[in-house]
Amino acid sequence: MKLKSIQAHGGLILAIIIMVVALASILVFKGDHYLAFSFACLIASMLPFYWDFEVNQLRAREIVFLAVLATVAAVARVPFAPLPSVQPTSFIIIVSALALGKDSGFIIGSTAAIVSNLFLGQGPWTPWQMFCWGMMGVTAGIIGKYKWSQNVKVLCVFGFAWGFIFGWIMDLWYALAYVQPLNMKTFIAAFVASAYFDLAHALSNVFFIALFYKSWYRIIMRFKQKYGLLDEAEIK
Amino acid sequence: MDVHRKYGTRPQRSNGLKSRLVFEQLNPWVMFTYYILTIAFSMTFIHPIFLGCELLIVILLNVVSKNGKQLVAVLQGSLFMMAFIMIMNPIINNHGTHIIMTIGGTIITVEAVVYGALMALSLAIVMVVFVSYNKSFTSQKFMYLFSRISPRLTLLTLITIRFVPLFIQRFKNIVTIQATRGIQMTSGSVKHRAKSGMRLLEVLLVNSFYNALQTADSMTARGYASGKRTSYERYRFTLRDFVSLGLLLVGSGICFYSATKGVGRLAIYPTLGKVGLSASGIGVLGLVILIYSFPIILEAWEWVWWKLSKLKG
Repeated sequence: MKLKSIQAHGGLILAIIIMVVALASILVFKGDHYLAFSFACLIASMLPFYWDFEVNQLRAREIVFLAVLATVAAVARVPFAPLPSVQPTSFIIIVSALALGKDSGFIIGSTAAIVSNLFLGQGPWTPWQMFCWGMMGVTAGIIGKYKWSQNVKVLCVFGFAWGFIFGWIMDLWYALAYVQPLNMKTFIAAFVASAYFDLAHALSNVFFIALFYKSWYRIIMRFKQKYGLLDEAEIK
Repeated sequence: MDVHRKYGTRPQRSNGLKSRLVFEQLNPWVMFTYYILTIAFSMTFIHPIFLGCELLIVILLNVVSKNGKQLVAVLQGSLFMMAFIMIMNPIINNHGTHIIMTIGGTIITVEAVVYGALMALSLAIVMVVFVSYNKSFTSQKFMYLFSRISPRLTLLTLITIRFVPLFIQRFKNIVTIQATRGIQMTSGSVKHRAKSGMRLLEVLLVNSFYNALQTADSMTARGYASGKRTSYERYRFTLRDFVSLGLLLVGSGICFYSATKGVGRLAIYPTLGKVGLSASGIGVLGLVILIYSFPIILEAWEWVWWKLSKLKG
């Protein structure tokens, strides 16, 4: 019994240990090598979700179901290539996470990032994208538990905010690594430089959520109920 | 044969069996170590001579493995970030003793300009290393490394990778069929095009759900998750892999140890140091160059060996 509970919470425990060690080492080294330690924290923050995914005995149907959503999210970048900065990947991740919960949302978001980069080219930005889209799924999954999340206006605000948060986290990877010293000016300059793309991302999220949220949510829920997939009560 | 070549419909793995470089035939663990080391070095040794040599070698590596086109595309794509780094560093940072000029109260120093240029160079190296990585480190190899650590996640990722070309193919069919109903993305306002794009994706989603759930049922019927999973491709860990990995690790260990002693790092703040290298600096530079050109050395070695064995015969 005890071993089972360690297995269930192992990811979280490990993540907390890694984060404490990394933060303590930043203090010990007096701020040197902060890039390596912040990267360790980034990895640690994703660990519990992957751990849960490994430990929960998902059936083949459920794995394939998640794979379809992740693929559609990744492929969605292709038909929208002629419209610059407009892509429904974030929208698809948000809708799936609202319908399926935070764990599935994370897996869909991070898999979509890694797979679309296998075709568009991996780079140092890959882990950051996995983190961004994964966390987008997690937050959408968390608000999905409340009734007010079915209000499309609230979701539009949510999508708009994530358009900017996504851009800001993606600015971090090169600002952190290659600009010194780090202060608010660096970050504000990086944010201003990417403001146009972030705004386009935010507005396209709002556009897709306002027009297509209801129909996509219904499709995903229908398959979920029809095939009895990813029932949270059953998994735990 | 020709049909395959023309349309690129041949499955990737049958192309993958014939690797161009000797380096690509090594065990994935050795290749992965090489890429990690090159990126780590480009961030550790912040020195113009080191960075210059490293950049030249990784460009040469890409030329040897014939990725010239991707190389140019990636370098063009990263120009924006490089420019940002080169401009932001002097503007934000006014440490340093040699002042070039002041613009509106902002002091621009030689030190900050040099630091910005070095950092842009370092970013360029990382970008070029990833061009080679994307070519040589196939997704099969990536999956081989991570299927031990996390089998379920690897399965999910592998299925998704397989789905991408399949879904794009399916999507093209859907586009053709729906065009007869007037749903298309080629004309109209941006809003109209985005709307029809989403309609098409909706069809793709529903269609794919039905197909995929059937696949899943057949997986279950064939005994998925009933036992331990085996791997399609096998990568043996040969003596060559063992020796290569050992040399890489020992060499890089010496380099990193010297780096903690300040070797190979240009003193920038508060005053720009001398660019010239000490004796130990030249030694470490040699070692770094050897590690960076490891794939090229393997290639040259094979070439020489081949010529020699032909001479004998």
